[in-house]
Amino acid sequence: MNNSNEHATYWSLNLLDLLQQMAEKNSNAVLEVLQGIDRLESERRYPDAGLLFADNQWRAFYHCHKDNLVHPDEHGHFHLFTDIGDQQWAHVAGLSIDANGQPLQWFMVNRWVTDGPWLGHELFLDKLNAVTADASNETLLGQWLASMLQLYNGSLPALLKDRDKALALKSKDKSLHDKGLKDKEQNEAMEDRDIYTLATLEINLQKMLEQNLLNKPVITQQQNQSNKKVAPRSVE
Amino acid sequence: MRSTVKTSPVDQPVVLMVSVAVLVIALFVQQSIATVQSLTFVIGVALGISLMHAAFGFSGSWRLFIRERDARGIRAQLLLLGLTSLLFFPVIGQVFPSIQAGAALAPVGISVIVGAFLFGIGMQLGGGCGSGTLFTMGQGQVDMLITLSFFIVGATLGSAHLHWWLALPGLGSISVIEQFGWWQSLLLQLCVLLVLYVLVQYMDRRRNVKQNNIEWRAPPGETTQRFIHGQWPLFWGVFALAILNFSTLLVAGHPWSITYAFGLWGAKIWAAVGGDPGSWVYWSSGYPAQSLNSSVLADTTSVMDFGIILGALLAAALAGKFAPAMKITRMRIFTAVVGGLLLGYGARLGFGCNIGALVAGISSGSLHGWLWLVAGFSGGIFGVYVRIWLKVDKPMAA
Amino acid sequence: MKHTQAKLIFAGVISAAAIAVALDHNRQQLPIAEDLLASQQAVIIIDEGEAMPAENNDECSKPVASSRSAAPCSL
Repeated sequence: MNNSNEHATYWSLNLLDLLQQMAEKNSNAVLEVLQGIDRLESERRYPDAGLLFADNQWRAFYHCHKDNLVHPDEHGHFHLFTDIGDQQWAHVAGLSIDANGQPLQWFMVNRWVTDGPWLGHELFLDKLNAVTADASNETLLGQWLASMLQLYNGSLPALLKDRDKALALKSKDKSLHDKGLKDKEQNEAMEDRDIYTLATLEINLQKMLEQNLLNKPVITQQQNQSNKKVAPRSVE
Repeated sequence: MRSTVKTSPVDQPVVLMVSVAVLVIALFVQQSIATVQSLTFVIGVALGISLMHAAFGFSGSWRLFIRERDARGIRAQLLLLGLTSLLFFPVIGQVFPSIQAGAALAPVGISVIVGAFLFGIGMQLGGGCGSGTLFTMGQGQVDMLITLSFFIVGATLGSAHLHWWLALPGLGSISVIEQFGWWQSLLLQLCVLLVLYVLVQYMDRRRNVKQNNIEWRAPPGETTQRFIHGQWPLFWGVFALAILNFSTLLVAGHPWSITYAFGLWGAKIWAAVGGDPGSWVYWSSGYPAQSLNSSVLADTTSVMDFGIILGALLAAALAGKFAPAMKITRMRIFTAVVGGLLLGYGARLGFGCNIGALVAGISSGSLHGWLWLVAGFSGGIFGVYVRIWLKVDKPMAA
Repeated sequence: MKHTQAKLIFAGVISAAAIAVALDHNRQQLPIAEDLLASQQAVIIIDEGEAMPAENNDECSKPVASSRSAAPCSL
């Protein structure tokens, strides 16, 4: 098995284990973050200061909006930020969650939505690859977020590229669509309140886990038919 | 004395894996749901082992009787009904007030007649009934995977239409225990079962020179070997299924059932791919709505079905019969698909299968169980002729 | 279909079913979010003879964008 298969298998098993640990408590990722909360209020962040995870290199919070701007079936979403030094946190991705606490999609938003520094896709790869999920140090939710990041560490950089391309395409100066945005045009696009979501990636956990864990082998037809008799079947 | 047991090598890796899986799942269900639920899972495993080792089927034995008047299987089923009724009637009749257990009641009406008839045809085409599909699939018969898949589709479709069928004429649920008293109705029922037993035996002996006897016990010196590796005498199967069904009644509070789970799995799968079964009449209220929105492990029928599959798998591995090589022809695929759909749709309309409607219904004093038997067996006769028409079987001897 | 092929197919199906059950077991209904603004009603004490605050001041009657809605998903 090559490295990327081992990586996928490891993190898939890790995620399944976390799901079962949460299920034993009748919980899931969102219910973990809402522990002890009497009432869920829209627009409020949970936890307010953000949850630190992956060796304190990442931060996330969950919230719901009054209007479902991101996905029609969404209950709310996580926002994930990474530490880029100098006490700055750059937004990486949003993770939409449905009414049963299950992930629906990854999404990328425009800069005005989250504010903060804006980094190109190529700088995120090292950050993504370094995500850890140490069970002795992290909460279940932190480990779950880390596992999701690792499981999609191939797709998220591509999604970030799509984000940048989408931003370029939305620039009002169409001559820059292929050449890439210049600073001024880029800033204008990033502050354009008509542009909210820039790219999305649908999540199908069942399909992904099957692909990673089952590694369906190719069954080839034998040219010579066996002469053995068929084994006896039960009468049913 | 030469052993009569035909042996194949035990599939040791599969035995080990399944044993570990059963232990892990039982512990997990106990931790995350409840100890009672874990017990029902273990009962399911025992049912799977019993069904597989005794080769206790309904479809094949009905077909053998219809074609050749070989009544062994049907007599075993009548014994099962009698023994289970003996155990159930006092409990459901509240002889032991501290035991809370409900009967498998369902409305007597057109829905049951049509459903059971379709199910009977499906049994012959699909290659199994409710319990038969599960245990043969557990054995690793790949064609039964197709039957089960379409069983699930059919059951889901049935749940979408059930409210329409229930609006047709019917008499409502009728409990003979409530109508006549528990011991009076038990006596009457045992008499009816005895008459049927004698009748089918007479028909068998009239047609067949060779006596088709039920094996009651293992030959001397083979008891342990047969118990572990299979080829149980048919009576062992009768006894085990009756006791395990009674255990289900005591532990879960209701008789053993199978096909509710298939509709639930189908509805959950439909919801997972974007459908909205919660808006259908059937899934919008009561226990169906609750089970749709809860974990599948919280549903007793589902947990028992998982147990049956694993138990049958374990038994097949112990018997050296796991995942037999087989030819899957296009005709087999066709009959598995059509049979599965009829099984599922019929089970939903008929309020269960051979186990959930026939055995559970009759054994708990519900009149719909008898209606199911008549309509289901009629469907079985029709199904046997369909098999001949499709050239799956040769025409019957004159 | 050979014995090993049947085993592989069966193993695949059982594994896929196990994954589906594991995911289903993790589904728990989430609470419905309440509107934050509706739940926070300001209490204004008005002395006799005073006008309602918003009636006099056109500036105050204009909607004020909160710093949160400027970047609704900021850290």
